[in-house]
Amino acid sequence: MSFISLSVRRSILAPRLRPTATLARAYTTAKVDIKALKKLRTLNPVAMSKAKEALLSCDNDITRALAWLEEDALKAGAKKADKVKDRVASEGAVSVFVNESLTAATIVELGCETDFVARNASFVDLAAEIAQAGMGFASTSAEGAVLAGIEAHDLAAKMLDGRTVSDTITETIGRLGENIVLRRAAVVGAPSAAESIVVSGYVHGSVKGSAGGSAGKIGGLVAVTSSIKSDAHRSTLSQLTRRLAQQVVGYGPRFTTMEEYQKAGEQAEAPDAVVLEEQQFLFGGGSVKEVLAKISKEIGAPVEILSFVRYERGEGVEKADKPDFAEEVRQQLA
Amino acid sequence: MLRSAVRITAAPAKQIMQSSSRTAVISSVRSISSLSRPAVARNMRVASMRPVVIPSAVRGMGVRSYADNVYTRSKPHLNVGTIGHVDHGKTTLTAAITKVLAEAGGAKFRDYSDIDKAPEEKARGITISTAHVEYETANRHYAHVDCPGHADYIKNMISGAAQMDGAIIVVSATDGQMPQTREHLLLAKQVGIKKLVVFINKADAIDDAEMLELVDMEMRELLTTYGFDGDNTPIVSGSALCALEGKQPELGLEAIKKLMAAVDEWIPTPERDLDKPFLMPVEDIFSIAGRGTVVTGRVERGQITKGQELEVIGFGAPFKTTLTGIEMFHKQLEQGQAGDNMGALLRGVKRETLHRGQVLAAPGTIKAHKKFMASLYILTKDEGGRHTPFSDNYRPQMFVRTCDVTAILTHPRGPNGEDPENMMVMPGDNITMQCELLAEIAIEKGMRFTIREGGRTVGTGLVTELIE
Ligand SMILES: Nc1nc2c(ncn2[C@@H]2O[C@H](COP(=O)(O)OP(=O)(O)O)[C@@H](O)[C@H]2O)c(=O)[nH]1
Ligand SMILES: [Mg+2]
Repeated sequence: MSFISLSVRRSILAPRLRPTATLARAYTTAKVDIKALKKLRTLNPVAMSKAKEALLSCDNDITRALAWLEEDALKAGAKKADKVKDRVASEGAVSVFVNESLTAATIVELGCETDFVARNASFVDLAAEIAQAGMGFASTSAEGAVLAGIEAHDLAAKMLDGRTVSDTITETIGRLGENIVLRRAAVVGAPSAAESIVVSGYVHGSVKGSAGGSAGKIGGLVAVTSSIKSDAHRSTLSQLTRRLAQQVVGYGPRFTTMEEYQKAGEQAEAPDAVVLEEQQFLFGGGSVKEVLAKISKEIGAPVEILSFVRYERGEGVEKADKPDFAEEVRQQLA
Repeated sequence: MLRSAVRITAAPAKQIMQSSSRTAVISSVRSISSLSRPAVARNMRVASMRPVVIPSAVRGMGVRSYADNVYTRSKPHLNVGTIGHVDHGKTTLTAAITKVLAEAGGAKFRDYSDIDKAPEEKARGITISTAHVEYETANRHYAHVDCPGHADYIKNMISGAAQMDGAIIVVSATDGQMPQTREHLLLAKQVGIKKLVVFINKADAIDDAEMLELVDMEMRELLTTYGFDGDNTPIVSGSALCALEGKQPELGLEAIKKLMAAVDEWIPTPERDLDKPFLMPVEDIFSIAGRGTVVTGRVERGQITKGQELEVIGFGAPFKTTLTGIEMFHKQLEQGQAGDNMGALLRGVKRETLHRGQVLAAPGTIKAHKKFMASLYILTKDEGGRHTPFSDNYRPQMFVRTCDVTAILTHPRGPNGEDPENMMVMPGDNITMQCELLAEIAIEKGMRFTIREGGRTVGTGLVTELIE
């Protein structure tokens, strides 16, 4: 469990320097063209003062200013990131990615400060893209298909659209002005294991981005294993797995089997509350174990739950002990 | 005889103190038990709007907790809130408004945060943050809340814990609107705010007045995009920090005065409960030999005079009757009004036709319904709610006013065409669902209710749309 704040990492990145000639010009150009400023902000919604700086540095030329902003984004983001790095990011979003063959899936949690940002399309899309980037950590063989955590640090180094996940987050901090932290990620399955594995994911309360991604407040992945002989089996299992993922999200089990539960020592909660197989299935048909047995019979091969994982946004993050609003106002008036 | 039939639980409204004029009051309450008292929650503009200017010793003396807001204030009351990006200056602005208004009235700023942390309010119920600040202009009295998150605010709004009649959107001049300003406006829209005022803050930090104009222009466009009146929405620019620190009065003090004049003028005063059509939920029914049938209850809104016609609504076809007598505090009265506990003597009505849960209302002002859409907040396990999700066709008891009736909650098809059968609702969710009742009761848009299961409150709701 290593939760690494990317904003911390980022601050050690060497800032890219602009040529001094451009800098000097910033102070010689007399006036910003307001029409150009408006246009520039619609093309790239950076802070007003930043858009102005770009135009002043580029003789009010929009095309050049756009390139300038592109060049500056990482540096501006890093500066903002450094400013906000100590702020608690207890809001955010969980996103899952499941590959087309339903053999491997990832889950990530991306933190931010407010749920306004968590609901913003650009944030949602970013979370979804990072989840997809996590597929690079999937096992190449069925043997390694069990759930595995991905170090946030390793995921941050993956490439997204020509830049690293880390840099993309930095730039997003610059644009959205909130601390954004890649908190955790995991992967399950193996893309090549079509004969033995079916995975699925579910995200509760999910919001759509504008680039097709989605993310929400609680997410889960489930992988089942069986001997899969036909497309019909696969389709039966894919519906089951999807529903199991929903079960995991809805009921928050902590163990898969009774055996695991017993091994873990004295538990405060009863097995039917915390053991996935012992829970009543959300979609009826008795306990999860009973449903698994029924489906095993149906397809003529045992079906077992290989792994599951559940992420709840903000889980375990200590909320800042902030005074309430009235108290804050009172302090300002003092 | 009538006398003994009427239960009187509250002291006369007139004994409630008025808030002294032009003072600013800060109060904070962390949790309320509004869910166990839906009727009270419904009438509270802000959950913690107990009489904050009354010392706690007085507060316990049977003063009707909501009545003072409703009609004994000398000025109309309004709930406002600040919405904006972290850092754009919401807190500073609120402090600046408080300071400027307190000074304008010549009154000393008073801090009521201590007396307002009433332990009895920390009883069971959902956890909400409704810390608010109060101030008044020459025209109106305001309760001001912060709005740091979407889900929290929706929850407070549904439960009636916090409410905004209008909002101040704060945008920093140095940043301009942010991508998430859209989410701010969407929230305002979702909670039914029709009119906003924009404050462009940090005007002291820019050197180019044209930039202010651009922020202004962009905001108007965005407001229009989200269905607000972008052309006419007042936009004031200035500096909250300057106002707070008493610097550059043209950006500070003057801007705050301009802002509050705009708020006073642009955001309409909500109709007072007293001015609404009469409605009284039926609590108890008594037959008084030789006189007729008496119904007791607390008047939710409006006023009524002896001799007026009334309609009885809910559980069967509505019917009309005449109010032939009003009794309160062991006295016969001519008039009853919002907040009063009264006994109503009805002409020619058989006891068997009346039930707890019906309402007496001014004829034609409210109808009985069975099916409607509602925004719901489902309590978490920590709030005493369910431990597990529920799925389509959930059947809790719905409690509204004095009435309880079984409801069937179903999902409309999901936003992405999801099959309702696959949808689940989890504790902690804010969700819109269709509610169908097993009996028709008086329902209207904006009405609050709670849902219970096995004797415990599992959710709170707000009617958003009537269907049948
Ligand atoms: N220059 C300038 N700074 C301001 C102004 N108003 C607020 N600030 C500063 O902006 C920061 C954030 O303000 P705050 O009220 O906490 O913002 P909130 O997060 O929206 O509540 C603080 O450092 C304030 O001092 C202003 O009018 N001018
Ligand atoms: Mg603040």
